Amino acid sequence: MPRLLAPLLLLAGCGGPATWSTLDAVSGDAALSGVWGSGPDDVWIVGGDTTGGRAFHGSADNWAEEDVPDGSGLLVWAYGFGPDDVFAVGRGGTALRWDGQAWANLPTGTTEDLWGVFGFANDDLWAVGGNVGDDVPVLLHWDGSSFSPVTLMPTQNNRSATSLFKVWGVDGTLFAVGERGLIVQGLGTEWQQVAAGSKADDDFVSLWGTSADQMVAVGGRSNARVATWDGSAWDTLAPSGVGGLNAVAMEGPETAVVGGVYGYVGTFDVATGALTPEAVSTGLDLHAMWSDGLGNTYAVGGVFAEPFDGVALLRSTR
Amino acid sequence: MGLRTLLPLFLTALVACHPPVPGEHGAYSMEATGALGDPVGFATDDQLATFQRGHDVAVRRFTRAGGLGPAFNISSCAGCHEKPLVGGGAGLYRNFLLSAVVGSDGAFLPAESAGMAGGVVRMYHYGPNEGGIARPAVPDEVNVVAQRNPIPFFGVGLIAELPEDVILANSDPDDKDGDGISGRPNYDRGFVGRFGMKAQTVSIEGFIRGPLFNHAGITTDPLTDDQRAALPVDSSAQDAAADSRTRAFVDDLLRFAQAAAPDGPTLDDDGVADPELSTDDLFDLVSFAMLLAGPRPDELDATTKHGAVVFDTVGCNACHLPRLEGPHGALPIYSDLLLHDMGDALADHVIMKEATGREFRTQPLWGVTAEGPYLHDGRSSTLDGAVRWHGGEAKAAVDAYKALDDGDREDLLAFVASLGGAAQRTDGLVPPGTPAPMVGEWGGPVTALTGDALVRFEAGRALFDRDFGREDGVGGPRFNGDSCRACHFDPVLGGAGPLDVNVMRHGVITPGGDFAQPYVGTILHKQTILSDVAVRPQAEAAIFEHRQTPHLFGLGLIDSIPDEVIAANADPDDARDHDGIRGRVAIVDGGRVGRFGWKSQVPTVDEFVRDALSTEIGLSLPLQPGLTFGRLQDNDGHPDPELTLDDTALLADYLRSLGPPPRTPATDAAAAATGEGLFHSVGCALCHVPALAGENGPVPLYSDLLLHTVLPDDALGIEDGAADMRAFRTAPLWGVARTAPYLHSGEAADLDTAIRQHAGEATTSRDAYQDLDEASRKALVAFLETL
Repeated sequence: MPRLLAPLLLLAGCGGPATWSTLDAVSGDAALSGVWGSGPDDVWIVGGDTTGGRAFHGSADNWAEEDVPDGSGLLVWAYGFGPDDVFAVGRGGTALRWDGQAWANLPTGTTEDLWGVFGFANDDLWAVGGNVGDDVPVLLHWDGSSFSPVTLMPTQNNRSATSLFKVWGVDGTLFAVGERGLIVQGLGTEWQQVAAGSKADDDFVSLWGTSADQMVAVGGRSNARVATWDGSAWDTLAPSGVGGLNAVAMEGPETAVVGGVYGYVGTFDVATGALTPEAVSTGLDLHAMWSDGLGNTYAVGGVFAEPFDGVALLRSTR
Repeated sequence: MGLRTLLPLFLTALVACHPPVPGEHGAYSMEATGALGDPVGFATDDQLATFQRGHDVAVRRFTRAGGLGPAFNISSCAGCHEKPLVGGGAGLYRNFLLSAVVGSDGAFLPAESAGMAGGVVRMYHYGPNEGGIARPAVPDEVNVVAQRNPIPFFGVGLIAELPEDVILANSDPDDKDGDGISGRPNYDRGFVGRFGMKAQTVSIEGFIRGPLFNHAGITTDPLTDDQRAALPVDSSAQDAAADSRTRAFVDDLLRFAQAAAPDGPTLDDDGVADPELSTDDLFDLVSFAMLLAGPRPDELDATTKHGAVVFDTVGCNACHLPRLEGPHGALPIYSDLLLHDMGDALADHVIMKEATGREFRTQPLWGVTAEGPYLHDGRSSTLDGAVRWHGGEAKAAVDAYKALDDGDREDLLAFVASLGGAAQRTDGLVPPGTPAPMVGEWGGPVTALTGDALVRFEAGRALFDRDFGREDGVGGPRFNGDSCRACHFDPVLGGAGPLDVNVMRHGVITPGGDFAQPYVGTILHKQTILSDVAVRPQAEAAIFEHRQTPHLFGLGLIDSIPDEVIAANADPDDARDHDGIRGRVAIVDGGRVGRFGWKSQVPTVDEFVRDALSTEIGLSLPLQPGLTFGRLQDNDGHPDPELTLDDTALLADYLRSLGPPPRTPATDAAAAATGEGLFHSVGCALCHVPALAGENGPVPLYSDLLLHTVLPDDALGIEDGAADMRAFRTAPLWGVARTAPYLHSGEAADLDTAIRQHAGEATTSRDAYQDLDEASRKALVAFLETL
């Protein structure tokens, strides 16, 4: 998240009751997997269907679909550095870059699925992925001109995870999370496995942070897992009776909005560990969230098989 | 609020004012219950058709060409859900292992076994991966191992449609009522779990797709939304909710979503296109499970009425709740479907979803008498033993049970045994009252039997079929089967066995290239009575060899062939006819002629029985003068010997009485006749000698019972008795039509493949076969299929 938004997050946390609405213009004929924006009026929602990747650009009720290069795999995640510089990654090793006019392919050197992308700068960006259940996770570093792979050694992955699902950083602190509760911390070009407690026994799917000592990761394929980073250690909770979580966006340093299977949404209180469910009008799995720091949080989801149904939601506290 | 709404509340209030009367468990739904294996009474005609199709999928034997593997434990659903009939549980021989690694941070992570399989340890592997090792390794870092006995499916559709509130109403996680019972739900994807030993699963589709992949290596795609909507238990919530766009509608439907499984496709790399089971077949299979009726209790008599009172008085009903109210009425389930701490003795240290290593779901008692062995790992073959293993929250009830006088205890057990399935209970798998096959039928006797001879044949068959339990001394402590039938049942009792009962042999190759027997022997067992241990090979083991289970038909006739008849065909130096065939007599213990087993390592039926009982089932035997096979003592903590000489004699007599496999009429008589000629001209008959002279006439077994080298020059195998690494007994061909797969390893799914895999002394014949035109090869195979 751009650092200049952080003060606004504090303000947003003081907003009114949340209301959820469905973004009908984006919901429907594609499964939606990722959402990111450079600001409240410049949001990307990505996903796909049988034809491959799909990308929708806009905000609130005003959306347009932008063409992606032929052969693009289903797009899973997006991250950028402004309206004219956005990266998206997806299935089959797909990586694309938006220059303000069009999406273009970036060679990644892999055909494995890419599940997440994040960068501190447009010449210091990481893409993560891996075919689930097969071989080792994929870690790619973009130096501004090309991707180069980094291999996690067994000492960096003693859980035998085969995929990393997301990567995120703030204030120079960088983490990637993945299968079987794996969390690795990026230290320059080196990565180090980090313990997350006895409940870190299932996949972590996504993470978000507002500062180097305020980060939240969510996951759990069946039942929810929520992990918090306090600047020195991760600790994982297993909230009872809550299904797996895929999506998280922090609206402030103490509050995260989370989403998961069967359209579950709620807020997570970092200080108390309490999850408070909210009501939305979908039963589809939610896969990603992004908050604009001004009281709006987008959530997207869908079914990644026929009929590739998808849904986009907007949570507002303004 | 209308009167119809108020009335149930009023009645509930009335009931709440009066403590339940012990033994008065109330009415239950007749349409939801029936005999084990019956469909529910409310099934529509279409659903009944689906039920039958699903049953057919459940008994389908998956082949490697059809997607079985590459790693697997089982080759059909019914293999693990067979007792007392399809949809039920299974004996100890179908136990499987769960394994996990608990790391330094305390996280419980299921271990790999030829890939990720939810912690399930796979026993068999074919194919190039895993370094060609036939038994996938249990990783060294595994520090949690637990056994699971297959769980019955009767009534699962009824359990699936139970509203969550019905289950949650009995939850008391903090024991607020102070009764020492603190049941709590497990959760799966946010829904109350209800299936599995730890209620870890909410989805029948998932509960079927998971084992299909983990245990059979059969890949599937999720059911489509339309198919889920058409299931007997509506599972279409996800799609319907998405369309509705209203949370109230979602909430209303979500209770039905427990039957849905949102996971993606399963995939493997066995060279067979995924999915290996179509979604249509999967739909039928899930429907079959959902339509299985709940076991219907017997009418109570004076004994069981009293037993019901004792059941309640002791406190069994605190967890084994007699009724749960579902959409089709009250279910006589005798479970609260909640998790309970069962104490140290039963703790398996396996964490599943929210269940700890000491917690298990209250196992429903409906049908329990026919579904043994009992408890999560089948450690008890009696209800009394199962009760006594209970601990933790059940300790007070068990103490009360132990304090009962014998009469009350027996009445209680009689009551539990009356909760469905009593008429279908069997000590093995043969249904009660099933007559013995006739002469000339598969599994029938050599000659017609009457009177005492028939009684003894049937007694022998019953003993052959009987499942032995830990209380009987099964395991030494390792074992492969818990009965003779466990491996010999194809196509009927006494027959061969599919790939999933293969015996695994292993061996060490010394630096000098010689074979050395591992310190545990060459048999690498599947099972052990030690609940938290996986049988591992010796670390130096380099050879792993599948051993297909051969059929036992005609064993007595083979036993009757004089040694000199077998020896007459021997030509160990090929000096007699220079035909490249070097049959050797297998001389085993005491200078006797071996004739049974893949390597002719066993000389007589009596010794075969003693060998199999000891090495495969782990039963110790009394000394029998003149016989050298069989273990007199073992290390299972059970007093030796575990069987009597009368038992072994009964089994041996039964096997000697089994008639030869009946010939199968040729579908193309002309082709088969041609094939018979080719069988001789190609050279098959040089080893597969059509008949040997027995004491009472020719024995048409199509074998010389000699050892021949039939593996390639560079092959490494298992030495056994007189047979070296590459030598095997000429396998008798009678019965091949219905005892696939073939070869010692089961590697060949059909006869053509089996012939092509011959090598060594059979190379010339094999090449001659391969040089035949296609019609001729088919004719030869057609002849073999008549045997």
